[in-house]
Amino acid sequence: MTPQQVLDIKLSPNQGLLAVMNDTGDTKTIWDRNNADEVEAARAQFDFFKKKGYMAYKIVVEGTKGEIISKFDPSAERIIFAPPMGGGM
Amino acid sequence: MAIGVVCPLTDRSTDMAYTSDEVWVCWNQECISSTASNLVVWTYWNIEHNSSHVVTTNADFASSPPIIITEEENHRSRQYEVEKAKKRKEAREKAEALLLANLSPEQRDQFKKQGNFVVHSSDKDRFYRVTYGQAGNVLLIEKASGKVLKRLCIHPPFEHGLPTEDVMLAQKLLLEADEKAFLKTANHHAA
Repeated sequence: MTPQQVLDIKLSPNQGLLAVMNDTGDTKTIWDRNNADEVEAARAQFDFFKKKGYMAYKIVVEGTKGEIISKFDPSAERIIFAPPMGGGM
Repeated sequence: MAIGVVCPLTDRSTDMAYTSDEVWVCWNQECISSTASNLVVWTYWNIEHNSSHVVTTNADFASSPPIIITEEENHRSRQYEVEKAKKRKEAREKAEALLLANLSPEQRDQFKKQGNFVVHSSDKDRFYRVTYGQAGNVLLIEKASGKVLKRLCIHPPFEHGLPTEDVMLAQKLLLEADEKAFLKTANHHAA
């Protein structure tokens, strides 16, 4: 996706997006809040990466700071997962 | 430490120690280290740039017996490296898109023009410049003058293979959400 395409991602009012950073850039999952199966699938993915020590950030508005969350929030519009970080050289 | 550099795309290899301009220019842009022979440094290099150049140590040449490679194996190896380079490029473009989507318009403009952006930590009213790179790339700065006060190093393990833009976004998110945790985790260095 081009930067503009990512910027232009228009989720419907019922949708949320979860992006997990990895060596391909990131893997995105979109869920429909009105679809219980999709919500559970997104929740399972959230719990999986939280157990691995990833940090979850709920983004409220683009460009503003994210809020660290420890539990899956199906009402979130965007959630970004980053791997755990440590002090480098 | 003598260093041999193998370029999979051309198959040219040498066990002479030499410093490719491209290697050091890229190194200076992306890493800051006083110990160029540090294995961590070259591990980072291989992860970030092994699509075009792979750095091996002298020990690899000394201890390995000669390997006879057929033309077919050579071709497959080249194709593999070309494919890996393509995937690496795609990953970087995707990571850049995610980063840009999560920067303010001002930060986006800074990043496009200068390859870095400033993060304001509202907690203590401090400013940080996140420069292009993964290690030692976050600078505590004086907002008015831009003077660098301190250099901070914090990143995911290189084994994750994250593109640089992902690491910069992760640094920005943690800095803004929990500056205290960021400062506690990062290694601090003098400017």
